[in-house]
Amino acid sequence: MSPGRPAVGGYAFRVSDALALLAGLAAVTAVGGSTLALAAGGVGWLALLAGVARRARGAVVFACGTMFAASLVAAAGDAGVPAVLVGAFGAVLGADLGLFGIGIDRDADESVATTRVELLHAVASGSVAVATAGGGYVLYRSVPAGGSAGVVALLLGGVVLVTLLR
Amino acid sequence: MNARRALLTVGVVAVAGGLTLTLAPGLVSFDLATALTVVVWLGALGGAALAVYGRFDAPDAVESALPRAGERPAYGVPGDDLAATVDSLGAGERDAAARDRVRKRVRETAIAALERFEVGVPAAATAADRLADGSWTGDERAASLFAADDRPPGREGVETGFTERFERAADALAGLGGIGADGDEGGEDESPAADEPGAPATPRLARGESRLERSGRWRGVSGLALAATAAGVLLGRSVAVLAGLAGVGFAAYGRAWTAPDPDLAVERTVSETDPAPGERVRVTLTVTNESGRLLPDLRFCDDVPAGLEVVEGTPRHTTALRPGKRARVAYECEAVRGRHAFDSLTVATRDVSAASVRWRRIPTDESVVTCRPRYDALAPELGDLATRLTGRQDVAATGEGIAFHSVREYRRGDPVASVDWNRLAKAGDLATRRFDQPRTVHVVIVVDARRAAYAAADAADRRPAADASVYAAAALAGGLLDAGSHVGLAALSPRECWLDPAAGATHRRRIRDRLTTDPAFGWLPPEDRDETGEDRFAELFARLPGDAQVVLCSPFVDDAPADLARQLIARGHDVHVASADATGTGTPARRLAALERRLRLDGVRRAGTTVAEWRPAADPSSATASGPAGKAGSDESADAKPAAGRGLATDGGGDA
Repeated sequence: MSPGRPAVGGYAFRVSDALALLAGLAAVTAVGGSTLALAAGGVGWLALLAGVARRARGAVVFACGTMFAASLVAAAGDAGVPAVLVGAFGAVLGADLGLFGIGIDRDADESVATTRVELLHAVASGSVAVATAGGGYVLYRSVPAGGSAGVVALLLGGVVLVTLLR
Repeated sequence: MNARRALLTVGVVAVAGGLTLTLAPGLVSFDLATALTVVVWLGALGGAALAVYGRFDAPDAVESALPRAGERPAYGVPGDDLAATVDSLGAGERDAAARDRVRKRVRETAIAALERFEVGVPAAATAADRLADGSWTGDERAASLFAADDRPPGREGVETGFTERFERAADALAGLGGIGADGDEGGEDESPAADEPGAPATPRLARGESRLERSGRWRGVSGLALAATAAGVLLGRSVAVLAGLAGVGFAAYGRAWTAPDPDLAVERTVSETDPAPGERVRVTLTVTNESGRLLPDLRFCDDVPAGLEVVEGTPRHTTALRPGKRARVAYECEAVRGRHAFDSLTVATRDVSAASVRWRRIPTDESVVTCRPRYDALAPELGDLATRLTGRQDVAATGEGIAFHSVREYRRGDPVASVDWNRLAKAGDLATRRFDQPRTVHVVIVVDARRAAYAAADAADRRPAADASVYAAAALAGGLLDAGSHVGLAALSPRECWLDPAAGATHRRRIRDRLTTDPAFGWLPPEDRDETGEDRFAELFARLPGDAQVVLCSPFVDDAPADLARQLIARGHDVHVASADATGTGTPARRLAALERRLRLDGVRRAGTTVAEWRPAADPSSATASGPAGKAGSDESADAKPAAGRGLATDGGGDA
């Protein structure tokens, strides 16, 4: 282990872990206007913390699902578009970074400095999140009133195409 | 039209319709939009369910990991396979046949042990009778393993408590042979991480092989978009649908790239190519990115040869590497006997989303580290089988020697010079004087290097019994050559190794070189799982000179070496056994295996072989330094059991 790097449960506490927790925290904070969403998000963030600390992939995936559900709960209330977007993207980003950090444990010994590769992955994932959320926000704001069915169909078509096309 | 094409059509139509409705909301009537919404809602729900199913149906453990190079292979402990078999057996009828096979094996051992170790038992009571009536032990549970009447009542073919009764019986039998627990009763040995359930798999690649895998880490993320869509439609909140963009964006992110195929220049240096055992060798590895593009996630592991253990640093590295940049790792390993060739590097590259990983085992220039131990020189007492050539070995042969042997009645044709003229003068009868005639003795040292011989007394030990046998063989070869014998070498292994009996300094070096560097005596067991050894026996019999004595170096952890010894004796060879004790006593099954080994050795002793056994050092790097106290002709090492025959110093410690 590199000097000064704390160990959790025998593993190095990595940059990805910290960024994952930050992303999750941002998601929970964003949906905090709704009590129910805050509760669900809090549970999700705690699950993320436990998953990162115990290197449990299942807990991280569960945290992502819970925090994403919290963003939907917030959307059902009167949360604004930015809050929902931050909640949803923060949840996925948290899971991505958490799982990446856990995945590195399998291949890198504690003494190996992996900050560079972790930061590169975090920047790439963060960029995807910002670009997608920003694009969605712009599209949502530019849609004329009554165009929600079109957004729904567009979203579904996008999912199907992304799933099929490689 | 297959499902994929149908889905593709649906996706294209949905995107086109969605764009149209988004840009021109009043283009179609309200009813059509509502119908489309319902269809979308149902499709989203179904898609989300499928995505969740896909996520949990494909566990993340399928993703491979870099090999844990730099750790010596873990060797099995005799008895553990039997314990695992017993643990896997249920009480039901389905496992009845398997339980009977285990019972038969234990029963055979029990009969042999009772006949061998029990004294003062009425002659009329055979071992089989005692097993049947349960009188062989005071432990009723142990006795009930063999005594059908004592088994718990139940349905036909159903037997509960089999594991407990097996363990009790194994303990009772081991007790007959004086084999007791060594204090770590019930303790689980430390096993290598790769063998733990759920541990990530390591890709098995041939040198130069490449493979592309999908990691599956983004599997199911599109389900978030579908779930958000369904929720948004149900709640009538378009902002909820917007949350689904997270699923769409990251699903696309996970499929946008493929792991790069790296072009790497690898340079490796080793600090010492001819180290002594236990000496540290520093390996420096430099990997340069010559791909002309960024490698966002490069992970590599030097393929450290089996047997070498990394004691400082790590041969694994993870980094992002720009074009032209280099990454360097340095580590130290502890040298042990053998020729260790570094000739490849396992590399994994991932795309920036880590969705795909490309594995490659890159060939590199070969760096060889050869560790040649200093072996002892020990000569065991040999039998009388010899060639007809005059030599230096005293055997039970008479002829034209110097030392007087005996006098016998004169026979026509006896040389005049051998007539005992004094006796003729005194007694008046003709007699012939006989002299000892030293002969040349051929000895072939057979080293058991089958898969079964790669066993250790403890799972934490990283030295197989085969290595101890190699040290013994080298020491014996040196001693026998010093004594004037012609010595040959054979490996009892699918990996062939044979040297005809010969003498001389060159041959001595040849034998020791083979024992040090031949792949037959490497640190990894052979892949061939045929443990009966019959094929190996036939090859050996075909090559073995008829007048050769045989020294068999084997741990005797299965029946094959005992079968070989008996067949060699039946063919007229004198056989001597050197057996490293690789049995443990930590569990009942291990104690049973130790008992079985003792019975095998007793069997070959009764068949006419001389047997020497010893407990080898657990650490291969200290084999030369901590060898048995015995030098040539001495008895056992300090912690060895008493053994019949002459002892062997087997772990080195002397000069080559």
